[in-house]
Amino acid sequence: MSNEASSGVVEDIALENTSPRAFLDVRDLKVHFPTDDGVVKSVDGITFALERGKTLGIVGESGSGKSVTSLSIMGLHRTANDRKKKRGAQISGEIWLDGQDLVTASPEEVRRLRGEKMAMIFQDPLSAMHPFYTVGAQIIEAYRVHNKVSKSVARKRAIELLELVGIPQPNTRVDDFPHQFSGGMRQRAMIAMALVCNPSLLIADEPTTALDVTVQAQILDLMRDLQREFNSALVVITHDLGVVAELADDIMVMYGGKAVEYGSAHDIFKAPEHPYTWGLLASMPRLDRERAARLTPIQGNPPSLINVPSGCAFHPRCPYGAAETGGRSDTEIPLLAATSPGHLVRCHMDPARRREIYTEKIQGSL
Amino acid sequence: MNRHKLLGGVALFASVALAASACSSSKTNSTSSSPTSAVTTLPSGNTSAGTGFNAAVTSIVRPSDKEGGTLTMVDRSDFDSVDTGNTYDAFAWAIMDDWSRPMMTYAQQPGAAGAKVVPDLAQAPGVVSNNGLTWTYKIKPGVKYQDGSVVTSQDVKYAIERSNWGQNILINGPSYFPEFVQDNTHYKGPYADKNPNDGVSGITTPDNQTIVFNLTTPFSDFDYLMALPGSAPVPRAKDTGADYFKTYDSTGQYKIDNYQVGNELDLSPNPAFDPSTDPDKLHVLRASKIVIKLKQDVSTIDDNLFDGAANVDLTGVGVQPATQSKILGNPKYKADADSAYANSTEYFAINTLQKPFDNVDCRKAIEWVVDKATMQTEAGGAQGGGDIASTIDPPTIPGWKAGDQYLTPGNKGDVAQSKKELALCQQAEPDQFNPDGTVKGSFEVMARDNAVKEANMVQTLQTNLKSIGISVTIDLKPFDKYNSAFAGNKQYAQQHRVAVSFMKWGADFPSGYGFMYGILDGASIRDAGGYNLSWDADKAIDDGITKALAETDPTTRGNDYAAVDHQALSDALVVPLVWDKNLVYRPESLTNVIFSQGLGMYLMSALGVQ
Amino acid sequence: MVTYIIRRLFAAVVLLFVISMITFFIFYVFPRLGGQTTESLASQFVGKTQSAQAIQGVIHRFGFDQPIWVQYGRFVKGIFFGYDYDTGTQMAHCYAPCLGYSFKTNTLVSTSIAQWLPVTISLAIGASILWLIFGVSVGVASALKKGSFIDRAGMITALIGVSLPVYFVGPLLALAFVVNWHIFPDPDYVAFTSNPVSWFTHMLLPWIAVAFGLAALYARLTRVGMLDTMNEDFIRTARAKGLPERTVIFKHALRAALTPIVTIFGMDLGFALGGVVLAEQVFNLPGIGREAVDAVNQSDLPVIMGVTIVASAFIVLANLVVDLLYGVVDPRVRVS
Repeated sequence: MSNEASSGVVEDIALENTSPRAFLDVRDLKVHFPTDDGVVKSVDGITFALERGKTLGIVGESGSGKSVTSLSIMGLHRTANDRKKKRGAQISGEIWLDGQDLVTASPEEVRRLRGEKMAMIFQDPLSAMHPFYTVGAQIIEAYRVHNKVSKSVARKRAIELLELVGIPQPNTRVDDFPHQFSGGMRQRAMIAMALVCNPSLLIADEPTTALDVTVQAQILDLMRDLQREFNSALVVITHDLGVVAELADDIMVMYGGKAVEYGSAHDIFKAPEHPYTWGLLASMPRLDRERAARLTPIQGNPPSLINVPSGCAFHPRCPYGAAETGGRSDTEIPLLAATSPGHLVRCHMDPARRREIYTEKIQGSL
Repeated sequence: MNRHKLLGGVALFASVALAASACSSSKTNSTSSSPTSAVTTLPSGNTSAGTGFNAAVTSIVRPSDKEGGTLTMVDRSDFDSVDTGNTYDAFAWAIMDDWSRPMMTYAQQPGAAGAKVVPDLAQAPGVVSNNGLTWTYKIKPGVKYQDGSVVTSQDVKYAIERSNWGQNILINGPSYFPEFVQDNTHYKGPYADKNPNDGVSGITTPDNQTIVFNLTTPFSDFDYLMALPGSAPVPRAKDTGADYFKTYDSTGQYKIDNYQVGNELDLSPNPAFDPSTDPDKLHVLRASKIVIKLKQDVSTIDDNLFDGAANVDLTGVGVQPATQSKILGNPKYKADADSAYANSTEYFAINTLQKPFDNVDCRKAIEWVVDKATMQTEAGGAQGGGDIASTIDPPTIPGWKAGDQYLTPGNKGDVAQSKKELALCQQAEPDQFNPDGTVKGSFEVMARDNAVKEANMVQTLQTNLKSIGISVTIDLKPFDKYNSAFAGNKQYAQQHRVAVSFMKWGADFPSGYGFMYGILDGASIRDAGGYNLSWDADKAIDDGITKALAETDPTTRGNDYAAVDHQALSDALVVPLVWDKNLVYRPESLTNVIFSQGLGMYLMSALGVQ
Repeated sequence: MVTYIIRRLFAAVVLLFVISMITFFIFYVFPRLGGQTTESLASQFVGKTQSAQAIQGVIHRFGFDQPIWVQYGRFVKGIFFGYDYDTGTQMAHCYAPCLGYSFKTNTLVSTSIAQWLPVTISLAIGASILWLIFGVSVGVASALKKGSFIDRAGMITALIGVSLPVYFVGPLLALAFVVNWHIFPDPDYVAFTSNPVSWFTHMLLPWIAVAFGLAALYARLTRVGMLDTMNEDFIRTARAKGLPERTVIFKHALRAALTPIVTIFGMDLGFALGGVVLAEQVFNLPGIGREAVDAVNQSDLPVIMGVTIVASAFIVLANLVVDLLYGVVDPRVRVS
């Protein structure tokens, strides 16, 4: 089977399935950064769809392209089109949000959508909030840029939102500065800021990474509750499978700028088929595991995005590829192929063999 | 930094009275000139107008008595004081006649006549009696202060007392009088002794017009002392001591309107001034306003003269080296410039306390070997630096004679002759010499550290001395403490084996006494702070000065001083290098320009503007 | 907050005391340790005559005959209460803050400083406005158009500005604009009160000369600060909120980038108020800096002491103001 013959067919499965277009519909998104050393292919052709009220988890190691994906949806990359010089990102593919293609939209159009229709929750709320403005001022600003209302109206809205995200005494805390908040409170405020315009798409980039474990759980609960209340589409980007287990309906596992496995939460957690997904699951801390076997880190390092390994990008780290595929994984790029309806895996191994390995070797150790 | 202190004449220093005596004569001295009955419009009746380079040295440039215009002067520093009783700045002395009338003042004449003093407040030069011990002056009647009150001889007495005996408060000015005037009462001065009836017993005022000085020793240059600013009258009732400069009561043709310390001095015509009390036209009102800008930047001061922002550089020490070449290279500028003696000499003093230079032959070796031609170049050349000196006195001193000792071909020094002298010295002090004829050990030569040219000159000396086997190191020290802590400090000179010290010296007034007493007389030797850097109490010199001071005949006195000068070189105490000349520029706007040989600069108080 | 300011003010006063003590020690005690006698110390203030009476007069009036702590005590007393001094004919009073009496000029140091201060303040304030405005705008422009012609031109100019000292730029400007083209009047100081227009035209060149180098420095600082800030997470957040780029730059980025500049600016201004030595020298401005140099050259100790105290007071005060201001601009360091 040659590359050309099947790549379009298989990868187009998602497209065919989602026509008419989903609320958020990303097709063959590529984000490349030209550098002096070569082109960094941070995101190299990903496709997914998401409806309102649903949650997509994007999982992967750092450098897998998950954050770049989210920033390109938000239009926060400086694109090559912006500048005369070939700096900044080269973005291709399609990003449809509520029927509008963000890739071809003007920067100004995208700016108007930001904060209004799509909002983002960042990883470290301390550095992500301006240190010199009060929390309230920053929420008010976010509200007023899209709503022509007076300051006092916006302030009421800000207090309302702070209350909604569970900040005690929002009337007074609204005038506090970010550094006066605790980490969890700060993230709540960040969420309030993101939600202030009632966005229909919410992207959370590592929303809990910087937080204590107990606070993490509270924030996840809050996000789930709010998503229900606002009926928004939620994209959660994380390296922590625990987080997506809590929130996600669908999960996309990314590796080296590509999706390696895409399916429902059930698929990914109960019947994962990609060796990389297995690795991720194995490295997830679980209290019920034997102490000695608790964590099994994935061997090796994430791939270079400039000189992507030939064949399957994961093959240098894959314990099975060489033996199971007869060397194909070293040379031939595997396709993202359906292994069951809605469950896509990018692996040369025979699906049956994958399930066999999972059941025999992996499942028990998780 | 006080540029005038660096470049201008250094003052005479006299504090020990002369022993002595001698001839009697009741004749007045040479500096007298009877009041001219001026009929022309020109000052003091002089009609010789001149133009071109050095015209102001021999004649008056653009003579004018016209009134009007604003005369803007610039100065590199500030006055030490505008109080006539508290100043020692050369430029201050050249301008103070604008707001004061001392008893005598320098004749407003170019050439040699300008080195003489003429009566100003006094009716005539001092009348000498009592074997040269009593000097009597009468002041002109009707001279008024700016407030209209009349000047009396008591005011002159008070002024001299406050500036000479009141130095606990007025710390700047010269104090010659206590050295020569009798004082049986040991007067403490008006500030320590506030009783108005007390005073110096040797100064009496028989009536409101007459003042009499009784001296302890004949002092034939006394009229020069009366030309010091300190003799300008000050009314006791108005005196506020150190603060008097703020309310100075003018007797001149101008009064002080505004004096902002360190910034500006503004003068305007003094309405109380009566020209009829000034028959010699020493105080002619020319500019109708005078602005003196103080502490001006050295680098821009010359530009100010060329671009018309200022009419004259009051500092009077000559233009910057860069401007020198600009002036000398352009006939147009050169025609508006003068290069004249500044009444100072640059010289090396040889330390007679430092073996083997206690031996006159060793000193003569230095006299012979010095390359004066190179030093002249280093000093700034013939126009900007000065003439090669053969005597310690500059040629402007009355009685001066050209030197005839140590003349070498091209003034380049004579190594052979020098070595001959050194050989004589070696015979006398063999233990100070190495077997090869070089002098044992190393010595220091000193100069001030604020002028590149001085450093260059001592370097040349270092080379000269090396050629005859004397090795020296160069020791540059701050100007301010040069005489108190270093070259003039006996202990320092001994510890550092100082052999030769550079010095630049100018006199308070142009006489042999004024020039030589402080640097050559045995009485001027100090453990610290003195200016006799040869440290040699030479009886022939001391006696020569004493004799001259008692000599009433000006020609004989001049010869006496010339003999002292000659003796100093015979003893090889000093090596005269350069008689300083300043290249000064007079913009076309400046009128009535006279280069005063007495002041060594333009007569600032006589200038006008067009 | 009030107690904090009081505490800081108190600390500032203590610091000034220490500075005054050190200065006093350097100029009054050091020379003695170096072998200077009372007479030789006093002789520095006496004219060329150096008469014994004059030296004794200075010793007595200066208090050199008193123990050193009495002399220092008198100095401190003068600052707070003033003291009487002898003019010879009467006792005059030097009103607090009395910084002493200069024997070189027969003037109260405080009078002189009051005369020099407007010059220095004119120079410092005017120049600081120039360097702040030009420095920051060039820096911002350079940062936003990084790598562009504007950036390169701005930074090359800044490099030149940083490398060229006032004593080079100053005379060059004077030569061009005053001597050659006669666009500006001769360097001199004209009081603002006597003629504001003339004051301005006379001050413009000195301002430029002083501001050039500092503007260059500020441009570079601003540029680096802006570039750093533009990479901050909160800038990304601001963009994510949909704010227009102008708001992002001027409200969010500049605010953060300028905070460290405020600190430096306060210190530079305080320093400049203590005397812009070179510019004052070059442009003939009788300000504190030029006079301080003159005072040092002439060993005019009371003036040196006075100027040191005043200049240190400016710097200490600037420090305090900067600290307080920093609490205003950066809430994180605000004291509760």
